[in-house]
Amino acid sequence: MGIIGIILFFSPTQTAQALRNDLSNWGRIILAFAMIVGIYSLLNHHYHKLKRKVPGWGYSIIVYVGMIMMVVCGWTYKIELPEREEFGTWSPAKQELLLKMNGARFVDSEEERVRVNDELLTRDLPPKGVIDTPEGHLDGLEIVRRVPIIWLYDFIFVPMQATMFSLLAFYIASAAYRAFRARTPEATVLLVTAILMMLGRVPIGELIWDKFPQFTDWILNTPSMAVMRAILIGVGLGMIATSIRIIFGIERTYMGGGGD
Amino acid sequence: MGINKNRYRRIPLKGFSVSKGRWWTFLVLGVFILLILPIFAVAQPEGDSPTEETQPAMEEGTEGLVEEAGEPVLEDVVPEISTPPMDPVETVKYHFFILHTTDPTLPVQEWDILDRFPTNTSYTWQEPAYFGFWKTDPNPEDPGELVEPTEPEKPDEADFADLPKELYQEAIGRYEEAYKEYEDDLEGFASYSEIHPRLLEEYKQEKAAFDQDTYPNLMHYYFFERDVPNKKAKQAIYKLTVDQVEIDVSQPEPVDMGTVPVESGAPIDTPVEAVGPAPPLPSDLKLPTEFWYEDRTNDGGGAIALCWSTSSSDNAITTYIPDPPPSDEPEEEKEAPVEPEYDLNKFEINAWLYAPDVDVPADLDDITLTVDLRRLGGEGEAPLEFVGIVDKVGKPDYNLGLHYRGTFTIADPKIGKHLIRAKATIAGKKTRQGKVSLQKILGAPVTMSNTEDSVSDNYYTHYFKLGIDTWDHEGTPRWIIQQDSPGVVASTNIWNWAKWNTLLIVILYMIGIFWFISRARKGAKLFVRRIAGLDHMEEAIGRATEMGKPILFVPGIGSMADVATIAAMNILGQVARKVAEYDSRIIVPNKDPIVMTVAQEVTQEGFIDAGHPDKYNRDDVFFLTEDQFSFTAAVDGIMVRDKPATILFMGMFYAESLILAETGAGTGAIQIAGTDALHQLPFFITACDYTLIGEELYAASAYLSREPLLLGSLKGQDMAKAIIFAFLFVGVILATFGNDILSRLFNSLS
Repeated sequence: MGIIGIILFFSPTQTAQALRNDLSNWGRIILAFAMIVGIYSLLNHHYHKLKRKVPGWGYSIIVYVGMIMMVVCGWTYKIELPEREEFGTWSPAKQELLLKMNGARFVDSEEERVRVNDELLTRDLPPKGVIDTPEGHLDGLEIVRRVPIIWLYDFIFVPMQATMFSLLAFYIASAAYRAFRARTPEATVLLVTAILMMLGRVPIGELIWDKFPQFTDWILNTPSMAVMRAILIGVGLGMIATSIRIIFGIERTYMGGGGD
Repeated sequence: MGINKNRYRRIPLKGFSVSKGRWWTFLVLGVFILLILPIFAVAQPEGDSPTEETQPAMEEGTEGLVEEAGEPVLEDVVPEISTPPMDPVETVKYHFFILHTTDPTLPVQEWDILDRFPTNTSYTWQEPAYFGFWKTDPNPEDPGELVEPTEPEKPDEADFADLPKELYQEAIGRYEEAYKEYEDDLEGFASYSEIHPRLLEEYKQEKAAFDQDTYPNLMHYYFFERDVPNKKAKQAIYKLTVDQVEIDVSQPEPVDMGTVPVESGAPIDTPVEAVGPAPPLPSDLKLPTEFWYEDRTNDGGGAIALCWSTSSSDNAITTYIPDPPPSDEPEEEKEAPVEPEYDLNKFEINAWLYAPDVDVPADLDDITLTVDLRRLGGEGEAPLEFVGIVDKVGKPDYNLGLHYRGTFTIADPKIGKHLIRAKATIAGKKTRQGKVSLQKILGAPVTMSNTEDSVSDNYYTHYFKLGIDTWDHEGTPRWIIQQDSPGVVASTNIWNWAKWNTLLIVILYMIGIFWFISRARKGAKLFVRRIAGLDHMEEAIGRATEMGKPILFVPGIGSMADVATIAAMNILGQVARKVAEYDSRIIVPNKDPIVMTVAQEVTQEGFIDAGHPDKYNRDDVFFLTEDQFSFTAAVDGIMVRDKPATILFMGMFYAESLILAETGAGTGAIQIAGTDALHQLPFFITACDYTLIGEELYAASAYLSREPLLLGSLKGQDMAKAIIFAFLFVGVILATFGNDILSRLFNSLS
């Protein structure tokens, strides 16, 4: 399979591209089945924690509750679009809101309908989100609205993600406080460079010296870039060497086997 | 294992040690340098720009006309063109036109003027366009009109009386957000409206000055259309170092020259031929020295590369994708007039439809295509139905081609190129909706596919010419660049020869690795420099054992497709063995379920190799979640609750790296990190005790296991790095003197 992958990279034929697509699809299918194994692993892990009442077993209950809640809310609750006549009696604001929430689009002219249809078909999207003008018909459009699941996502999941991401700012400050100390010559250089970079990236730096932003850009684009590229070269060679070792079976540790 | 330092001498490059006896290393490097220097001597750029060749022709009074011995093509019909006064009148934009034909006997005025689509993918040539060059810098920015923001409309509660309350609340929420934006826009509008008149006045003054070319020391760059994604085209820069272009556009429009025989086989050193009277080209305009076209070697279909160059180092390339040949086109269509007047009401349909969910009988020849034209016509026309011929494209069970050629009339004359919905009934079963292209007949059929871009072989022979003319010129360009290239037939390529250099380098690299592996097999001692992080790994595991706390191994958030994750699994195997030997505990949380299954096997194998299979606990290698920050939060929780004494971060990390490392540092654990994600390395270096940078992660398995085969591949890696550094060094020197042969050697062709 490794040799095939290399050959596919160099072959532009449609057969090769189709094979590459097939391999990608196989990977996705395997991932889907592996997800079942992963979920079982997660639930089993927390089941044992609950069973043995290890410290922190309360969080395992939260895992179970959260998972069940998300699944149930996702499967249930949908509303259907009313009949076209009734929908047509709604105010435009109400119609537009319902359509926007469900990814549909309301058109109010023939030209716009044609244009939107073209656009959707160009992108291989079914034109189910477009509703005809009142002279036409709804064509079986169904609007699904899962309110609780969206509420859970918008007001619980997304804020928690944002919270974790925002921790980065504070962690950067604490890491900088620990790292930027002039204990050694190299650390001193790091400290000075960090100060110059920070000044160059804020307006006050430009007030101090109008060439600060350009200087910081030079630091980023010249010495820093040079080192990054050098590391990239090494990384690239290392990746190729590791891949060759795996393709030719020289290294089989990742499969649970020995090197010989 | 001890290292006899007297036997090895370290040269000043850190990480690159050469033993005393490795004289062949320097021999190889020296041979490379000696090979490159002659190339530098040979690959000198060729002579001067062709403008010097064309300029004398213009100054002799036959501007634009190049006369050849024995071939006075246009001399008798082209009146004398007097040299116009070189007073600055206005800036004139010049453009390249590409002329195309499949019949080289046609006069050049009857050749098709083609568009150049700046893309390397399959694309059908459509309407004529151009890419040209014009003055670009400086360009004052138009502040535009002042538009006051409009207040959003508040939703009426009565409208939502019969709907769930959440919908009205959501509508109110959207309204409030829109109103906040409106307020912000109002503030911005107020301040902007104060300065807008000044900006507008400044713009007008700058534009006037720009048009008058009154900028001092202005350098005009002439290059192709700015939206060109084809980087090769951008290289063909026509640079003028004058302050303004002096051109007189007061010449009369060219007269119809009638039929001009095409002179094929004209020598390449007479590049420009004027077709009709025209003002002279700018005196310092660099014209292409050569123009040629060839079958593309890096595509899977019938694409033709059109190339031109102004020097040996500037090459511009575009791609022409010819239409598939019509199978049953009547010969009369080939004799269509040069400028046919097509009937807007006549159309042709060619449809290629997806049918993946239909079992297609092998002998199927009956497809009914229903085209819903009501969406286009809107005048109550009934849907059209017609039966077409099955042309199976691709796999028989994947998609079907319906090729129907016929005409029908639609009352609406405005319909041009539209995509309409079509359904096909195949063997009585309906397929998914497909796409149908409805295009006007312009003398030749056109097709469109809704499968992936597929270009079939085109059996026509194609001929091209490159023309130059002013921006606003219509019709055949007045300067045609002759070339003697024969026609070209586009064909499918099995191998992408544009990547030959990549293949060669990979093969040489593999040969080098295998050679070192063979030397390792024979017992050669291979030196590897010390890597602090890996040296202290055993110490860290011992520390955790003494403290009675587990070891936490985080294999990153990549999938098994990432080489870094594979490297992490290799390290995990070594670490698991050590953990088993020390009778400690290892926890491996995973973000990817496939990585989890691999990690379980690797860990178990490590315990088995250490002789303690009973101590392996499968529950310690588990899956958490596929979400990035959820995984981070979970691992942080493990660190805070279980308080591991040793934390290993190996693999692919992204934004969560610092969160993990800082949390681990807060628990007092010893941390060793290894990743090839460049942007996360600073965070790991700051927060962790030891860090494996880049390739050290890939060297870890060889370093820890000390297996000769793995060490051999490591030495091959180092040798390749040394050779690349040699190329870099020589390339920098060559590039300093204006020779980019090495950079072109490593660039892929297109």
